[in-house]
This record gives sequence, structure tokens and C-alpha cells, in this order.
Amino acid sequence: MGEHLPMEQFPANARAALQNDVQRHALRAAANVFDERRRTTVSTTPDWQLWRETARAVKEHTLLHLDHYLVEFERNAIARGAQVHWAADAADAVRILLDLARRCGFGICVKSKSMTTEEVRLNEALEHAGIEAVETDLGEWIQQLAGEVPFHIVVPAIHKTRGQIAELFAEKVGTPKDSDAATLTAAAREKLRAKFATAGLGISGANFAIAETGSLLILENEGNVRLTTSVPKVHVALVGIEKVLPRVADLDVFLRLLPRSGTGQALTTYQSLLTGPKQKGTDEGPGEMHIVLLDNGRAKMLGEEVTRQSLACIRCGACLNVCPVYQQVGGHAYGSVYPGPIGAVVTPQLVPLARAAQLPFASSLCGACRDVCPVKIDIPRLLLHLRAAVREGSPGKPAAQARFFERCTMRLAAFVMARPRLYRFASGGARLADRLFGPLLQRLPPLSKWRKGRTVPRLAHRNFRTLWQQRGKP
Amino acid sequence: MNARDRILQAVRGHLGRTDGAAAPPPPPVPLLGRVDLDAGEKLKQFGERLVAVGGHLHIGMQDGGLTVVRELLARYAPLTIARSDAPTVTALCEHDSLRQHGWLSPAASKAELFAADLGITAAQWAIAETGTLVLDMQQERHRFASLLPPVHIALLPHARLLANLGEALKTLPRPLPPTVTFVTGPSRTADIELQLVVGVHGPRELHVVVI
Repeated sequence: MGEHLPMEQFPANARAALQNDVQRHALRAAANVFDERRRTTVSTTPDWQLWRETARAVKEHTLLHLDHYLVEFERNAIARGAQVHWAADAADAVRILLDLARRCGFGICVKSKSMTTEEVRLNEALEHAGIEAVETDLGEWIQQLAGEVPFHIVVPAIHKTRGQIAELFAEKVGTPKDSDAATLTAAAREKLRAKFATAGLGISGANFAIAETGSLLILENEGNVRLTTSVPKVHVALVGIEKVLPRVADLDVFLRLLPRSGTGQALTTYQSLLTGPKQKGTDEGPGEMHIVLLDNGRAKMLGEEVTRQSLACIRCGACLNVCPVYQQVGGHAYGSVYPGPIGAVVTPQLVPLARAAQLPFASSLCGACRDVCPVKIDIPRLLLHLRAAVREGSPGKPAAQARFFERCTMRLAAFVMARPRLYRFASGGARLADRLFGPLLQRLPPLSKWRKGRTVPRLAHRNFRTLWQQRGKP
Repeated sequence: MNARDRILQAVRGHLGRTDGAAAPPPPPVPLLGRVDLDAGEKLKQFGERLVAVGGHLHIGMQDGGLTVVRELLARYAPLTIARSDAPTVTALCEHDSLRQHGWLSPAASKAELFAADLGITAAQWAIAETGTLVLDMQQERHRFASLLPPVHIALLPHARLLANLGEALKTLPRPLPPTVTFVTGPSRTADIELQLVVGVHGPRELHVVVI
């Protein structure tokens, strides 16, 4: 059973992850490939900005009228024979899903990749209840066999090398120790087919829920979503309330943005558009379809424009792939089901802020995440908003006092910089002090505090003015 | 108060809305793909995109796909063939030159379908822009035949080729069928060191025969 690292200890988690060179190299290589593919496809799409703006406008409209669209979705899904459940929090969702699994799972459930089921810790609850829940997405299954939570929201085992996976499979599945990717995949197909054939319940998430038809849309490449939603007698989908879109026509723009941003594909291999259970006994497909709408902290993000945009996220993973912090520390350090830039803004809003207080600071604010986001979420602005909330709510040094000290420092710097002779004198003094006592000064406050996790640059021996005056001379 | 009312109340509370207010119309989604392709251009683009994602294109317009399917069956030598109940597929199954193959009934059991070596279905529409097949499970019983066997052959009527995704979404019948599946190439994964492997849970080979 995969356990999250404590999110309260992000700095320690990150330091530990930085020591893991194999993981860092595997992650960076993979993340860079995904980002390169994304850039290639975006650069050949002249209308990319129009698509982004259209998608964001649709999301913003839907979120501003979310109550209306949720009720419309529920009405239309019920009209088509689906059963709609509402879960205010993780405990609600787990209770509903456990009841279903007990009633129709025959002791075994198959799952397709779903971040919401990770969010409510469903696998743990099923295991405690003695029900086998099998992840069927290859990457997700690898993580389950390894006893780990997903490392990336799109590519769960992105940090593992082929060799590591081959060793894991040799132990757990019985494949030869030096198996290649094709052999490992074939073994997974065979093992998981047996599970599909016997499971009574298929559990999925959903990428979009369409209000006007009561439909769910799920994207994938492997075919395990198609199996999960068609072979077992009962299908249940756990869907965050923010997944609603008004119309089928809206899919046009979202199906263009999501695969291109996530994997660089124009379209993933499969999209399943599911509207209710089968209509006749002789049809193919599940006889019962259940949809669980999950709030779990989402509704409270609606209140302010800055936080509301968190709910526009379509979970493409593009911001993870470009993030210099995620690329170094990886997905587990965040201690949350949602890592990376989007995780650093979503997690602190889903759990008590004090628990996730470190996460909004896990960013250099470089803005790469904002530039790649297909729905134009201003993640740096959200990070700053959450940092301010953490500071306001934190005991210890009052924010006002910190601001006063900062203001004085900046005033002093401005005063010195505005006076060339004083500046020359001060910088000369600083250079001398750095040369004589640099290592010592770095160990004393305030530099010692700033140094945690940073390298203090040494001052150059000759300053720019000197170099400028000597320019042209040998 | 039950969970439904609690959630809706929380949503309305945070949005500062009063109960039951109707929403204005959502913002329009402009036309996003190319539509100015003639039939020949659409077929050319469809074929290019299908091949790019690892599928195969065959032209079988002269005889309803008979020759192409005969050759494919000779190549794969399947012991059993899963098939849908589409008239175009039934015509092949009942043709004298193909009758000797191990055709399953369109209503075969799940166990038989899981064990089938090859599946033949029709496709209701296709999208040139992305090389995508659109399968409407209400018009044809092809949910498992297109998914479970390692090889999938799909018969696509030429006239059903659409230019882009938006057109396909508009063309879907309303009310929507219980299941519509969009298929772009064979089943694939890159979950192990980003190495592309085809045939994970679905077919490893996809042949589209234009009829």
C-alpha cells in the first residue's frame, strides 16, 4: 500500500529526493521529452492561443454557474438511467464506493487511472475491507506493485527505469529479470486480463462531465478504461464537481488542448463518451452506472477569482514537466496526490493550510507553469496568494514587522545606489569583507538563514566599473 | 441536510448566488478545425494521420472490402473471429470465400470474445484531422469485438469520413447513444521509460478498410 510522505516536511523530503540520482535523471529525461513533444505540437498549431482562451472562458463561465450545471448534469444522467451520488468529503466518497464494491465487486474491483480515487485514499479503504482493487493503467499498476503512490499525474511511474521495473516484475509477476518494455507490457496485459474477466465492479474517474447530456468523457491510450467501463457488470466513476462542462460541443476545444499538453498527441488513442448504462439486457456494457460527484474542498475555492481558477485545471501535467522544482525533487516530495506547480496550489486548498504551508514556497516563481497551462491558470499568482495566506495565519513574527524590516532594507539600498561615491565605497567594503570573512559571514545571521537551500554567490574580485575602464587595454 | 444539498448550498454560498438562478448561455466555441477539404483530401489526410499513429489504411471500395479482408485473414490465420452485427460485416462472414473461417456469433459470450484472435466491425464515422474512428455502440454491436482481440479490422464507409472533431461531435445522434468510442490507432503505452509499446489492453494492430 502506497503511503504519502508527510507534506509538512517538504524541505526534508526534497533534500532526500535530491540525493537520489537515478530517480532525478530518469525523471528529468522523461519530463523533458514530454515537454519537447508538447512544444512541437503547440508550435505547429497557429490557433493555440485562441484555443486556450476559449477553454478558459468556458471553464470560468461553468464555474461561475456551477450549481446550475451540476443540477443539469444530475437531471440528465438520471434520465439516462445512471445513479448519481454526492460526496461532500473523502469519507462520503469512500463509504459510497465501499458499499458498491461490497454489493457487486465479487471481492475484486478493476480500476482505471483516477486521481480523485487517490485523493480520497480509496485503495487503502478497499484493502481494509478485504476487497482486492487492481490498478489497470500500466504505470499505475507498476506503482501499486511497488507499494508507491503515483509520481506524476499523467505518467505515474515516470521516475522508474526499465531495469527497476524489470526487477520489480521479476519478483511480483515472474517475468525474467532482464525483460524489455514489450515483454513487461505483455505480462501486464495477460495478468490484468484475468482480473478484468472476473471483476464485478469497474472504478474510473472522468476527465469531463457533460451537463446537457449527463455524459462522462474519459481519455486514455491503453484501452484499460474501455475495459473497466464495459466488462464488469457495474461501473462507478468518481468525479470532482469541477469537471462539468455545459455542452458536448465544448469537448471540441478541450479534446484539442488536453492530449497536446499532456503527451504531445493530437488525440489520445481512445476517448469513451459514456451516457448511462446499457439500455437493453442484451446490449454490451454495464447494467448499472454510478456517478459520484465529489466536493472535498472544491466548493470553497469558488469564492475568489484568484482561487477559482484552480478549478479550471484539466490535469494535463504540462506544468509538472516544465517545473524546475518538480524536475529535481519529483512527485513524492510534495506528500500529496497532486504534486508539482498545480499540486502546490491545489493541495493547500484541499487540506488544512497549516499542513501544506510549505508547498506554496516550493517554487522559484519562474512562471514556466503559467506559460504552458492550456487553460491559462496563473499559478505564480496563486502561489503568492497562498504564501500571503500562510504568512497571515502563521504564529511567530507578525507579517507587519517583517514588512517593516524589508522596507527599511530596500530604502537603505536605494539611498546607497543613488549616490555613486557612497555606492563605490560600500561595494568596495563589501568586496573586502567578502574576501576576508566571506565564509564566516555566511555562517552568521542573516545570511546563514538565507543560505538554507541556496548557495551564496561570492563577489567578483574586480567589479564591472573596473572592467569597463580597462576595456580595450591588454 | 444531505450531501447533495450541502454541496449545492456551499457552491451557491461561495459564488454569492441565490438558489436556482438560471445560467446565461455559455460562451461560443468557434469552429476550430479545417472544414474546406473535399472527399479526396479528407481520405488522404485520414490515411496519413492513421499511419502516423501506427494504423493501416486499405482501400476496398470496389468490393465492400472483401479482397482486403480475405488477404488479412490469410495473413493472420485467426482461429476465431469476433464480429459485430453490422450488415457490411455480416456480408463478409457469409461470403462463400470466407465462410470457412472460425466466425463467432455477434452475441458470443465474454469468454469467447476474450479468446478471439481477430475482430471485425464497421465504424460509423471517421475524422480526417486526427485519423480517428468513431464507434456508435447503438448502431452496431461492436464494443467488445473492437477491443478484446489483438487485431481489429474496421470497415469504414467512404461517405462517413468527416473533416474534424467538431463536425463529429455535431454529427453524433441525439439523444446520445450509451457509448460512443473514439479510436485513434492501436492501443499504446509509454509508461516504461517512454518506450512506445502497442497492444497494451486493446488491439495491437488496427486496419481500416474504406468501403
